[in-house]
Amino acid sequence: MSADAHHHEPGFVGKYIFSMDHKMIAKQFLWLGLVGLAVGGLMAMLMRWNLANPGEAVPLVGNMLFPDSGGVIPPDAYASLFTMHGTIMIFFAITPLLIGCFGNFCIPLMIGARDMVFPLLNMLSFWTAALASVFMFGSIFVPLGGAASGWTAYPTLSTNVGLPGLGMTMWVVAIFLIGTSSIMGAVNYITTVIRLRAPGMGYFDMPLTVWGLWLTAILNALFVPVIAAAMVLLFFDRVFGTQFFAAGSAVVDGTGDPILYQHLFWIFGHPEVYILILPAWGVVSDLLSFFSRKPAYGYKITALGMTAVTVLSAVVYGHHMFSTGLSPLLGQSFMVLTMIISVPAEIFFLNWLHTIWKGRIRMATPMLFSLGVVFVFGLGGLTGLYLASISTDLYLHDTYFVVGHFHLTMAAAAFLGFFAGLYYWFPKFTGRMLNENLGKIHFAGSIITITIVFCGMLLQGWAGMHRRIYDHSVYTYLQHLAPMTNIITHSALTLGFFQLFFVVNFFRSWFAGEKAPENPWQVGTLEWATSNPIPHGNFEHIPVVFRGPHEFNNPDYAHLGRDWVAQWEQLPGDPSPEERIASTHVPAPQAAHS
Amino acid sequence: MTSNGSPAGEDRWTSYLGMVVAVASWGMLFAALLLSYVLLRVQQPVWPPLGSPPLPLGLAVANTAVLLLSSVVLSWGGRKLGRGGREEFHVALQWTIALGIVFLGLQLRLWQATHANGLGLTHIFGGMFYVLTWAHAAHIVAGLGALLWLVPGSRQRTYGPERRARVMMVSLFWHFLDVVWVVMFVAIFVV
Amino acid sequence: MIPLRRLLAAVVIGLLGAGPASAGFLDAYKPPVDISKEGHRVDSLFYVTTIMLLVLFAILSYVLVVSSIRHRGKSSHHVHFHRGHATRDLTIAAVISASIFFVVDGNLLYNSYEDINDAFWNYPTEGDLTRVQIMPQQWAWRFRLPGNDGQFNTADDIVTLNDLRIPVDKQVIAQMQSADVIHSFFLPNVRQKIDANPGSVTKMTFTPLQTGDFEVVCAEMCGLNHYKMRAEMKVLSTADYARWHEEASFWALSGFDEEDAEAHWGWDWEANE
Repeated sequence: MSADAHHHEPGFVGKYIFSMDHKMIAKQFLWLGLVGLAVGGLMAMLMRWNLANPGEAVPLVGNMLFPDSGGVIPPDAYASLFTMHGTIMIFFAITPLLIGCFGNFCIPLMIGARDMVFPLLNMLSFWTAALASVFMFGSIFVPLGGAASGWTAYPTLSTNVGLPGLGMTMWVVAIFLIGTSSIMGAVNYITTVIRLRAPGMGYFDMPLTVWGLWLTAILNALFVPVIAAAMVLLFFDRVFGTQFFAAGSAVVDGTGDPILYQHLFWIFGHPEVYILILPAWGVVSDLLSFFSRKPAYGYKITALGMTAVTVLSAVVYGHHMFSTGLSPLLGQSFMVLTMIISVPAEIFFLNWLHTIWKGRIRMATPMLFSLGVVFVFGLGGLTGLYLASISTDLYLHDTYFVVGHFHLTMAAAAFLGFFAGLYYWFPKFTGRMLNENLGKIHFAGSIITITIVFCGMLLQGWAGMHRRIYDHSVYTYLQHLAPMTNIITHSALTLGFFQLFFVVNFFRSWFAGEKAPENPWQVGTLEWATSNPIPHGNFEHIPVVFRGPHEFNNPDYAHLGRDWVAQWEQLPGDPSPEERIASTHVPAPQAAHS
Repeated sequence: MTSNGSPAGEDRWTSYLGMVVAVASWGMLFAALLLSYVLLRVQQPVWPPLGSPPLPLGLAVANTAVLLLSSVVLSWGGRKLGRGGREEFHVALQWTIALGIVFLGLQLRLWQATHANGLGLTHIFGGMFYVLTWAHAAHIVAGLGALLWLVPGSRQRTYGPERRARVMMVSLFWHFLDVVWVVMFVAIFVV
Repeated sequence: MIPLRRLLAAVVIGLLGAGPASAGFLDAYKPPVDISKEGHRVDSLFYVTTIMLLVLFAILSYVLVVSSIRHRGKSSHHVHFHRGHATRDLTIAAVISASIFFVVDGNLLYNSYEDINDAFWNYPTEGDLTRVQIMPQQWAWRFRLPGNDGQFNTADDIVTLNDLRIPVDKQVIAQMQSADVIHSFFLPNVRQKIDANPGSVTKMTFTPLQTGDFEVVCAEMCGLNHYKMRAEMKVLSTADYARWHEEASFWALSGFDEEDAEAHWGWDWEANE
């Protein structure tokens, strides 16, 4: 039975709104994530304006946003801004863009599947995320203000003691919902990768992008429920008057434990930072090879290294709590475990450097962004060492050093990784190319400003500037840092300005870009085996996979006259499809409808 | 599933695998709640804290028995179904649903009793007790819904692999809830 | 094509230039003056680690720059086809990573271990100590020093708001718990911070070696006015402190009000912890 026999054209609602097609869901997540990125980014700029010019009205939009204070950002709005900036960027920008969009788009196409295993669940995952975003964005506009306890929402500040408003409760509900959405997606991704790989595709024939997304899904499935539990308890504390996180003291009476929340939060929170960065690692590992025209150096070791990081990420969370009065034994154990995680990370980082070394690098925009990821992640990863060590962390914890560090690793690296992937897959997405010149300006503007912004923060943190502060001039020991604050603010605004090049490029190319060739980057992974636009069911015939994803400049195939070989190409000397399937133990998926 | 959904992989092991992953997720949810229970508990000198009203242990024991029995019945029916015994499965399914409803009824009685004894939400032990049992009961309601979803199918003549997969998935979920309850029962009532 | 040697030279010159430049830069952004006996541990560990990491970062930048320029585009050089799957490749990667781990991470681990066991988390229980109780609230710091009777929670306790006075050259041990939300007691000049949680007592110890006025900072987001939750720490000479303490204790005793429940937030010193 062919796929078309069952295929009847769905109406507008079925095709664009309640679509169960993984490609359409990927696009929906893309739009959701881009809105989140724009809102979160604008919030960052408002904060930066305030830090450099405390008490001065925000130009242009100030009177519209803060009419009661004459355009000046008041302290409560500032607290709300950094809370929402963090939450939106993590859960409504990186999560939908790298996991929702790339996960949905790349996994089925790159493993040669017709769709996700559970398309209905996939659709529900998006609409749960959409509902979550209604709660999240809506929480800003309710009386008594939005959430304002930082994205970590530590009680007792986040209970009714500190924030009695409805906004904080809506924030809690939104996090629970977006977590549910992530888990639905994760169930789909994990099962799809295990069951729907194209015949002949062993685990070590998968592109590293798929590895990254798969490992992310595993972490999502196991650790998002923990934050969900924390949100349930926090919700009970806020709404039903329980006292799980309220501890006995002069003002608050209770026999609960606010530190319990921190344990739950970071049991989730530390895997979460890897959840956010693993897809970008995967994308970059692939793109470095594709554009260096060399095999991904130590492919298997990179995959296993990422797996090792994934496993270790579950047992290092305590390094976020060194200053909470953790017992010395626990503190030391978490310090050692945290340091150990640097070993597999170093190994695949070395593999990246080895991959580009002595290649024949094509400096297309996706490659530039990938190299950018290597650079900022290098900076961010190295600065993490100071925070893993208790001695230096006691000073650096909750300063701008931490802010600079995690922005380099999970914000800059994740978003540069997203842009690398978007410039790379855009032709597959839309059938059109993004403009290379605009892309290169976008990259150059971003990488320079990112480096200045976050390295500036590292320096300020070392100088002792603590975070989540509305106005640094309150402290005499911070006053000499004002020039650096100005530099960072100007760079951040410039960073925002350079994103306009992307916005213009994105919209212009989506509708009127140059038509993409079938295989614009000359890469042999399975998404390039299908035509443009991608037909219903993705592939006319599911290809049989004969080799790994990174066959570039292999001297054995020099006679072909090109420097790449596709995964689906059967060349002389390759086994027959049956032999290949038998040797890899990956049969054709038992498809009920194809 | 509609025709444009699920173009691939509706074989029963695939669906079952998805359910295994989902159950692992649910397991972490309940594990996190139980971890909270344990961490709050170890900080108290006495547990339940001094002055806590007594718990109706008899009701809880009866409840545990009912839920365990429902699991036994369901797995018996599943085994029969594997050998073609559709009639037996149909009966077992109905008994499982009935026992599930009895469980919910007994839970309601349990909550009434604790409430009457004065165990409130603001109490640290009471709060934890209600969160755990409510979370579990909410999943029991979902589990009952899933079991009811199997009922019309269990009457039909043909019993294809798709229906078989559904039975396996729902059974897994139901047994999981049973295990969660036993752990909760031990944590709250026994130790 | 840029020859490797010239590029190498450029990188070396760049590093030679960047080294002092960044050192100068770091100097302009160095932390506030260290007044404690223990703070130098943090500073030296930070600087040693920074030097090692700068070397690693230089190597990373070198590979990125050289590859991007020398191995780019249509250059006709031979592509180094190498999968990196041989045992030898794995061994090399493992050896490099292990060396980095043992040198950089090892140094951090060893020093941190020493630091917390000898100083930061080594809380004295007896001897000549300045004992302080701290109870932060939204958005102020309340300090309590024992009066002349040397006991906490008695009528002659010296209770101050946003004004901590301690004698120089004498080890301080502070116990704290919060009145409402979580705060964090951060002394930039001592290089330490510890959270003050509601419902449990946390501790910090240090020895001030310099007299003067220094700032106390709240480092944990604690609400609207978190940003101005600031206190003064006045380190006094031994003689000045004794004079002030005598006087303050007298006034505290004479001003003691049994009815004022708000002021009686102290607790019995938790000596054995």
